[in-house]
Amino acid sequence: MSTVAIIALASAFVTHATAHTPTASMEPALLTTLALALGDGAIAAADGHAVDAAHAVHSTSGYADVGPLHFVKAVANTDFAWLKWMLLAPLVSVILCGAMAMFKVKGRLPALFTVAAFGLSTAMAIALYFQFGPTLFATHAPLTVPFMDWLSLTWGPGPFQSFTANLGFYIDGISMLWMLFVTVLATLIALYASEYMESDLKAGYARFFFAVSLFVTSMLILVMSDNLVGLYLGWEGVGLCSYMLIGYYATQPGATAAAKKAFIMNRIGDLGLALAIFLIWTNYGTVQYDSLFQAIAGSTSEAVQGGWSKAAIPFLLLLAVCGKSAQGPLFTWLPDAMWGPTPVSALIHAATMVTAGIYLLARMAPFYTVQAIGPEWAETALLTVGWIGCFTAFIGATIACGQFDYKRVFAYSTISSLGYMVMGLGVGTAFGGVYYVFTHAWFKALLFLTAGAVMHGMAGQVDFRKLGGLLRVPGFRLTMICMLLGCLWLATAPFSAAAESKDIILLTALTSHVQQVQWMGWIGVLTAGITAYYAFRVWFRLALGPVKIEPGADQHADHGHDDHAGHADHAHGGADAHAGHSAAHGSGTFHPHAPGFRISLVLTLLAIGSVLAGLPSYLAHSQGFNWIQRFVQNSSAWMRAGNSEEHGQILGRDAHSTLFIIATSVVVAGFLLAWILHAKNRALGDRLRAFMLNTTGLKWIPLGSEHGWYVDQFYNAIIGIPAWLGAQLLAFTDRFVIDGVIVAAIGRFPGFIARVFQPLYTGTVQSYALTMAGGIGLIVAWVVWVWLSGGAS
Amino acid sequence: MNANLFYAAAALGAVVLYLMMEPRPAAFRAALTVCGLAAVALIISAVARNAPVPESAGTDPSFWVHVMVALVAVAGAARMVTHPRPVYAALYFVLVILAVSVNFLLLQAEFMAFALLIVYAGAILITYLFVLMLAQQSGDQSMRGEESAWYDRTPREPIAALILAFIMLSATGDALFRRDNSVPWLASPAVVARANIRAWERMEDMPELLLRESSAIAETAGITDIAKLERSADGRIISVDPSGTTASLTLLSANGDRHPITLDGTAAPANSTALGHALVAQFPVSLELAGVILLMALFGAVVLARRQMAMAEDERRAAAGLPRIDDGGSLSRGGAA
Amino acid sequence: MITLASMGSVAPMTPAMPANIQVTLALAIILFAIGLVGFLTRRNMILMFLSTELMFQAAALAFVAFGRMWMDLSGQLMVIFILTVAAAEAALALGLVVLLYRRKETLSSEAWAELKE
Repeated sequence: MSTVAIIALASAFVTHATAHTPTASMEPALLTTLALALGDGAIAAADGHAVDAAHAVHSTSGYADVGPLHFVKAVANTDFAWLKWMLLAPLVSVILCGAMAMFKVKGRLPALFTVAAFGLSTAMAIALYFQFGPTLFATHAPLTVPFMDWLSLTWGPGPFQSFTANLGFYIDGISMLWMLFVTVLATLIALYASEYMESDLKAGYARFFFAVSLFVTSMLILVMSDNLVGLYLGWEGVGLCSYMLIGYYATQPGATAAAKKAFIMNRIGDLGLALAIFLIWTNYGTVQYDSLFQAIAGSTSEAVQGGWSKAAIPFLLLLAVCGKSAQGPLFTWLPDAMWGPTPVSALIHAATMVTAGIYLLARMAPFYTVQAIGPEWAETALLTVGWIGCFTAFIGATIACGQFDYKRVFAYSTISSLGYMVMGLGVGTAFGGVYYVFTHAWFKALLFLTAGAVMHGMAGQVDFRKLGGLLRVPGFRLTMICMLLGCLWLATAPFSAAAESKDIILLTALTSHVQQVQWMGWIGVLTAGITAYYAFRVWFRLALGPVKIEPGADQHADHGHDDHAGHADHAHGGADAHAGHSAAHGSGTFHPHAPGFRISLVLTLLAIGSVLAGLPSYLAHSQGFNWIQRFVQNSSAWMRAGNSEEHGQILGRDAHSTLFIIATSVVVAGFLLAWILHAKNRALGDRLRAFMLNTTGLKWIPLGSEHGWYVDQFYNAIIGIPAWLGAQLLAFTDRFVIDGVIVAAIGRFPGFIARVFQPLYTGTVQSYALTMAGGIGLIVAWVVWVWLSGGAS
Repeated sequence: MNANLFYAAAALGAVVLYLMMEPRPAAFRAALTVCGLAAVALIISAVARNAPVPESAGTDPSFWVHVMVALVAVAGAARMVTHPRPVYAALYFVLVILAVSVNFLLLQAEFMAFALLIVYAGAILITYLFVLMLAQQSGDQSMRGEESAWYDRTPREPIAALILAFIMLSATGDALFRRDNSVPWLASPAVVARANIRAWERMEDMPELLLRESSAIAETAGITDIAKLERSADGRIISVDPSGTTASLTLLSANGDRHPITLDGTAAPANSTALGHALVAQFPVSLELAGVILLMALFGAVVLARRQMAMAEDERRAAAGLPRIDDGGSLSRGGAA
Repeated sequence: MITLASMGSVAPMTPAMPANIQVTLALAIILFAIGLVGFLTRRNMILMFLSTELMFQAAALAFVAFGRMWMDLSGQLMVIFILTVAAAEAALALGLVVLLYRRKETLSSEAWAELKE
């Protein structure tokens, strides 16, 4: 099998090298025509004349300065008022599932409502594409649809004396793209979850679908809103649902701790977003996308005012992205989020919520231009974005190499992939980033769901050292094949959809004129190799080798097993065999629970989707345009839409072919390394690891990788230790100052006063008389000598 | 008033009183007595030095009688509060009562003087003396051969008490004597007129007395056939002239002759007569209430004595080994003894 | 002109000499102070009450003196009532003192100090 793969790759390389090379032999005229047709024909200004080739040069060679901006003003159209049902359908599902959760309804009804609602939203998204898409691509004008008034305040006539943030829709390229894949994936994953969560039918099933429906509602609000406050509303909503779903298994302390960690780290990002919104309002006076983009387009780079407050906006937005998409310093919550059920991991932490950060970057791309913040700040901001993405991609990959929990491997791979996307937006290709988002959503969801199927069948066993040879276990073959597809896509196997999309990012980085960006590109290439290694490390260990199944500790599995007695159970191959095996339950042998129809269906559909996700790139030549790129070019990120065809040179040679060679080489190298250490000769792999652990100089590599480079421990230290100190100080204050001094003083005060006056109570009449007479004497004296004499005697 | 002299004399008196509280040798006691009396004399001189003098009078000999009475009274009171033997203290109190009674006489309150003697010295003090003698009957083990019990000999916080007394004395003296014209020592003509008018109005209720007295005076003037007094239109006998300084009544002879008699300012019934009339005519309710108070005292004394009687009886029977009488209520129910 | 000088009173009711009244009042406040000292100083219960009687005396003297000053009989009337009350009070007080004496065989007022508990 391995030799076949190598021959296939080699042949593919040859054809690609010859087919995808716009070499210097092509005439410059054809070059310019291509540029016009692909890149700039879509950027027709409102007054109708085509933008000149100079613009094409700018858009391909400019890094921070992308030339003059032209944002087409949005068009309001109430014909699309039916779009509100896209939001309301999941909202209705929220209410129904919530009611069912409150009244403790048992049964699969919540799943039915959820899948139906999501399916309805999907249908509407597709209908929107067909109805509005052509208009958008022709006029380049986004669509605004008013829905509901929310905040509409005016306290004066001036520009900074009103605040409008209503619930309306703003449909441009990226909104539409996000709406499409979010709804489709949500429907599929909800269908998957309806079977996966069946062990919880008696408890929590409705609650799960309530949270999932609420999540999709919030995500749609996020992508469809026409102002920043609506985006923030959706942002918070998805954070809340993430918390609810990570902590779904609320009786496990690990889950609740992970949920809190996720929420708090998201909150740090939310702070960035909130501050950015405040600064945007104070600088521009509005939070509506349309007005903002027009304002930015109208200003020239020389006339940028506002100093630090304007320049801080892109960095604060980057902070928000780090929080939501697990980048930079805030990535540690995503691996812990694996405590949630696997459909949650697939939907939220692979496909949709974490891509909200990329959406934000794409949407807010105008704020990273020289027109918004001046040339030096723009370059700094973009470089920061790029470096954060690059660094996160590399770190995620290195940690994934040391994990033994295959779900965590996929989690770190998500972090790494998100790093690529952020890097893409940082190096100047929003098209690359968004395309990778699209393909990544499909194959990452596929990977997580296959992992879930394995977990579901192996009673929650997540350590792949305890499993093996699953390709040969009856019932799991389909799952393993889907996982193989996913791993190939993850490793960016050549010609896969993932490779098509990721390579755009690497291409843009490596051909940039800025030296730092080129370094980012090379680090990205290295990371791709590491990615291939760990992806196949997982698959080889799980799928190949002798069959080994050690079940996990999940009690749900037994229940699920009994509940599915009537299920078409491939694992038992027949009713009598089933009866015979169920009689053998008491003997202690474990029977893995093969995935059922719904799970298999969803896995198949996702696999097909992952393959088809590359269609835009495959059909780009015949169609003349890349379907995804067309979305991006008709959105707020168009100035960085990038050009899939026109690039410079890598290492002195043609960009496309060189990159193809380099990328394929590292991927194959990683694949081979994984094959050697984990498929062919596992003993060698174990010996290598033991050798590294025993060598003092190399020990840190496997240990650090396994423990995530101790980032969590570091955060605990820098936050936990001051907190501990503060707590000790407070405890001391409470015990000695408040209790000891203040409370004791207050407590002893009445006694003290009583003891002062106690000698008066002697019991003898004369002493009381003395006291009384003394009082009278004092009063008489005061009356006579002070009062009667008018204060002076 | 000479304030500094007053305070100094008061302080001297306080010191003397303090020194007298403990039993002292006789000579020392004599010296202390002299000092105390000197202190009182100084107080009096400080107070009365600048007393306003009415135009009509010269030196009034009754002033010195007042002073002597004051000295006697203070001496008796001082000895009363310092004497270690209770009976002697009670007897010194009688001395004080006598002095005060004489003072009442000087102040033209004759009835009160003798009432004081009869009630206070004659009844209350006798009761005190009886009780003192009763309460001293058992040989107090705390006596130990002394003449008086320890609790009679040693004063209780004398310094605090004396400071307090000094403060009260000074303050009261200040209030009374230091304010110029605050107390109208010299009775103004209006006061005199009002007193006369009140006296004449009192006499309206005493027609027989008026007839008798005025007939006697008229007889000395040669008019012998007085029949009755003339009443004016509203039934009044005495008519007061508008200025209020004189009054007159008219005697009617049997033959109808009218003889007007002028009453001058000094015409007034005797103190007892006037007091009795005032008690019944002006304060009848208070009189009755005083009677009620005495009735209550009688009741209280009977109740207390009853308990006492039962208790005493009980103790004797217990000492003799007999069953108790007092079983908490049989006596009140008239149960058999 | 026939004038009725007096009706058998010992002395006519004429305005009093201020010096006399002042001496009497000084005597009254001195007696009150001495009575106060006696009340606070003597431990014998009966002598305590006797000192209060002394204070009554001083008050009566003051009443009569002021009555004389104002040439009003009300001062003496007040003294009648003071006398009444003093008599009633003395009777009851002495009865109680005797009862107390019977309990503790002592006239010291400090024997009853435990009553404060």
